[in-house]
Amino acid sequence: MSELLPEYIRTNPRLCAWFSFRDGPGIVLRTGKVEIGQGILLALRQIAAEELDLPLGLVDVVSGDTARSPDEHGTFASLSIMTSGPAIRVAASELRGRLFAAAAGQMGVSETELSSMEGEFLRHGNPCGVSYWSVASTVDLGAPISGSFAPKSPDEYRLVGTSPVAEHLADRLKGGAFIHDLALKGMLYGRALRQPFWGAKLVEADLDAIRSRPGIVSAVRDGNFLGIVAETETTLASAMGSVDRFVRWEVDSEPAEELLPVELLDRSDAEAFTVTQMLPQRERNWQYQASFSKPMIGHGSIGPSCAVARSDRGALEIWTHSQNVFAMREQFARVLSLTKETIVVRHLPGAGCYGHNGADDVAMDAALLSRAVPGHPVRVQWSRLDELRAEPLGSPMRVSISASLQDGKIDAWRLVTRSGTHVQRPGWNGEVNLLAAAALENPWPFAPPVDVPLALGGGGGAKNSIAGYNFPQDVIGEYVQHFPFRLSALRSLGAFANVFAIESAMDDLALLAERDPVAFRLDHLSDSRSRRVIETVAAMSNWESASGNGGAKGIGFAQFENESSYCAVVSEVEVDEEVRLVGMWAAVDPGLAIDPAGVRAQVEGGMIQAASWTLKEAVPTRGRRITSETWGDYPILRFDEIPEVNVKVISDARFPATGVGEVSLGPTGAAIANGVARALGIRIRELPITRDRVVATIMSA
Amino acid sequence: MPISINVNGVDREVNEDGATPLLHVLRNTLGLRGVRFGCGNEDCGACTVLVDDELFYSCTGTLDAVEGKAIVTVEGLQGPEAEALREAFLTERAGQCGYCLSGIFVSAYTLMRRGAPLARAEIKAGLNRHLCRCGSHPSILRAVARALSAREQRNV
Repeated sequence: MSELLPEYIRTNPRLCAWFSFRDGPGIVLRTGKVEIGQGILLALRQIAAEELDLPLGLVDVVSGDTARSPDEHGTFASLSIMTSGPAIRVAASELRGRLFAAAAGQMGVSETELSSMEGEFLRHGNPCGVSYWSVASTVDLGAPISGSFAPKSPDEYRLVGTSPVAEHLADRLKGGAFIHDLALKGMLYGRALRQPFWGAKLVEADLDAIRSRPGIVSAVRDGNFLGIVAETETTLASAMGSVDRFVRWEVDSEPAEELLPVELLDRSDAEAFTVTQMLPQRERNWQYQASFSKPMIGHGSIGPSCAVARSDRGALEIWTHSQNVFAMREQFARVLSLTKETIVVRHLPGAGCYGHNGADDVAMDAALLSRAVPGHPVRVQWSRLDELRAEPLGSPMRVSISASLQDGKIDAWRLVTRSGTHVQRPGWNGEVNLLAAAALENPWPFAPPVDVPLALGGGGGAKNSIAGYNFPQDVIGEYVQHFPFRLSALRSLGAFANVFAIESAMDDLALLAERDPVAFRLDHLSDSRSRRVIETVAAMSNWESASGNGGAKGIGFAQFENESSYCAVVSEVEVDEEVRLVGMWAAVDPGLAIDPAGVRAQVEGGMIQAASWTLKEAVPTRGRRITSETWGDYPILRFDEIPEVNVKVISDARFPATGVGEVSLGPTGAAIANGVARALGIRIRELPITRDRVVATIMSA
Repeated sequence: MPISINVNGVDREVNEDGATPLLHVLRNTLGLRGVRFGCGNEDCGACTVLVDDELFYSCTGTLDAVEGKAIVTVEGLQGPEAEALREAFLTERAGQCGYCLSGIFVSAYTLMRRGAPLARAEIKAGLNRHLCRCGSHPSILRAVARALSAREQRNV
């Protein structure tokens, strides 16, 4: 039986890893997954409540706590609903089964005579004075999960598949919901001085001068790591404002030539690898050849990275919004020479997380600074400038596509996708990979970057590089290992650029074939779920109807990772010199939608974020430095640019639930680019499609 | 010399330097942590509060600047307009991470108080001082429109 159990049940086999009982009526679900703005805890509570026939209000959750949660390898890659969901389903049905067995045993009746409602047992439908809570103490939660209690069949669901009120949002309108709001007794305020560029050396620091500032409790230097701890947030801010006068950093050599990150990528050495090879080897006359690029982009969370740490007598307690508290515990143990058992890492919500941002780095800052003031919790919060310059970034990418047509259909397709890494998370490739740890006198250097392997969701830069259409294709990856900027996971990894390029090429080829873009896609699709999202979004957006006012529609489609959820997006744009979004529509098929409103929120949010990437975003650089100082230098989409958005969730219980956090990004970028190409009659192949780029493209045409 | 301010209807004497950002006073001195730091540069609106009924960036605004004035934070927003907004935000699942939400809520409240039906473009303009990175804008716009229409129906 055990080999059939979900992975996280096999690695956390005891029932007590997943559930405990409240003091009064109610249960506590324990999960290693954490809330990062995606609404996952609500969906996981729904799954547990469903199996146990409990109302949501009787299911609490403990999340991302190394002392109290199962290790589920962090929260990323839109995997929680696919990996943690089945584990919780199995654990909850086991708990239900054991509670029924306990009640039947206690009452001396057959389990078949029992049912339950809100935790109260009913015998032949009548209350019998026995409840989950009254028999709870007789259930051995320490015993391993057997897997012998079958979960419900989807047609029995009453809570899964509905959209409950997201009460956690009400909490967000008050204080106390975020890690930023944690206020502990004796808490001090610290911050590290960030290196002006990745790996820069601190030449000189006048610690005495820094310490003489009012309200400074401690100033710490360890190699290239410099941090200060102050009595209050206000004295810290004031000291940080003057600290530059007391330090001298290595000056980076001016580059011979100023290159954009994507140009740097083009000129870097790369290692080629095969993603798929389907074409017979021979010389070809490609009818179509085009190259697309995406710049380096940032996470841009609205709340800065924050952590609180307390060191005391060899023990370390950390509050963090890290995506992986267990991996972070390992890194704290290594860098601070502690045993894991003396470290507790607890997750508290940060602002929205779209990948590997500054959350882990700031936690290491806090851990290091807390050692200077034993017993005092130290709260560290990055500045906006730190966020813009020090967080890991999404890799620039270059995607080149060649294709040929035969009888109006694609008969050969070759795609080359070039990228830096999409993962340098803490612990990845065996190293710590944290800014502060790498800056120490005895440094923990960053590991040589290794991208996500193809076997994991289709890789990093290569993710979604295989077009999901019926034509023979060769796909080659080109990996640029060494890059002067720190790159790591950002929402959808390489899928955004690959889908943008594939779907742009599909429109170009439809034009060559003199076929409507929707019809051309359907010409190359036999998969019914793919066809359904495209047909649905075409109907929703009145695809056939001409847009007035110079507006133009474009479509984009992908199945995320070629094996997860399906999404098709139509966008309507008006273009004069600037692109204005008029409307966006999406159809998404996530298999069984646990919480349809949550699916919609993730898809809609992904569309808006992708629209922002597509039209506005590129991290500005000079040499090895990131030059943005404020949001003004890294603009993102604002309220006055938001179009009408309409999302249809096609919940299909015949298929298991798949993740939706990253599914809409690529299709949206492509849909906008395709709309712009139709509006202008010229295609823009380099992102972002800014006003300057539109003007330059029109002028050069 | 303590500085007098009125916060959410209560008179307060604050013993802080006049140059202290109002945000620090509200969060750290008075414990009103629904007000949030986002950028420190009046770009994102996360720190928005009302000062004498006007929208105010509490991260760049100092204690001096609000002496003798009436400050309202998200915690202090009450009455039918605020309740209708809260209900609409929950109904529309407006917001994802929710970090930007308390500032947006303050601006949305001022839209509710305007007392006229508002077109979508006017709602967008009214919220334009705020950044949201989760892309919750469409749901937030739907929520504010819903609350405004609930108010209209009540007034009829």
